[in-house]
Amino acid sequence: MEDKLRQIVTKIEASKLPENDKEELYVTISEGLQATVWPVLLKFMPKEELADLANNPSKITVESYAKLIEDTVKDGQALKQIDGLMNEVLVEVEKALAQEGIQ
Amino acid sequence: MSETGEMPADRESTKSKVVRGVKEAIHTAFEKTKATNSEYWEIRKSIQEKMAWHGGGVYRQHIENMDKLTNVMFGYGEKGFGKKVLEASFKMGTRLAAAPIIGAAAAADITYNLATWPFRLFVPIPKDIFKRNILLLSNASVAGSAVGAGVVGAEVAAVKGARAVGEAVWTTPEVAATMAKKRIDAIVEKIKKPRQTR
Repeated sequence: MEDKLRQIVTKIEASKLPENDKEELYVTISEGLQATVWPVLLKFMPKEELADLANNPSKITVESYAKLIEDTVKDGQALKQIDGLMNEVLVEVEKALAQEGIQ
Repeated sequence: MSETGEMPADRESTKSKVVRGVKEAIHTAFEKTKATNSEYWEIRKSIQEKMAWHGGGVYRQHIENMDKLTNVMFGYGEKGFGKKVLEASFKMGTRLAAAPIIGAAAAADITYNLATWPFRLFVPIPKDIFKRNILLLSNASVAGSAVGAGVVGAEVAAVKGARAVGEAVWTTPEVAATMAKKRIDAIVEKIKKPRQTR
């Protein structure tokens, strides 16, 4: 994913787009990538652990929150899926740039 | 909007055809990726639009539980809020470092940034983080992690010197290539770790 992201940024930087457009593209790409995260995290999140914390606010600590996120990603499946979705987003971005002659 | 994990917002004011094309492309990608967890998106949409949700009751509860947790954990303005964020960032960094992220390091970086920075719900990412002057400043930290503070200091001094003697210095191909590479590194880094801008 990072290689593809780097390729895209390199193409945008090498293009003759105005500086404002480049900045807006980076913000758009950044937002696009970030938006893939929470739906997948929630899908893989241990629901009983989540419910237990939500129903017992006194149990919500930095440690318990960090553990919840760790438990969500520790088998690698969530990150793998997020990575896949981010790649799909970048593929579409690359296509759109190519259509505008940025390749 | 992505700070909250939602669909990127349209910016109607966008004039550039390229920017518009990329935004449309990202929306197209979303239409495909939404199938990954369509229930999530439908419930999120209904919550955003304050509509009643008439299905997926259990899953809605999961989403509301997560919101509740986020509010308690990172409730803006609460006592010790900043300390909590830093503590969570440190602890989760340590924990995620041990997670299997082979081939997904960049995705892990973005995930980690979002999960440890949910107060973006209240303080959105500044839209100017990709501006040239900010990236030039961040070049120092990107280069710093790779080559050490001493060299960075020299580079910063060199950059200041170059500015002092005029723009002509920037036309040297080696300098231009180095600066271009550093700028690309900085942009990639900012996309992966936007919270470090603040």
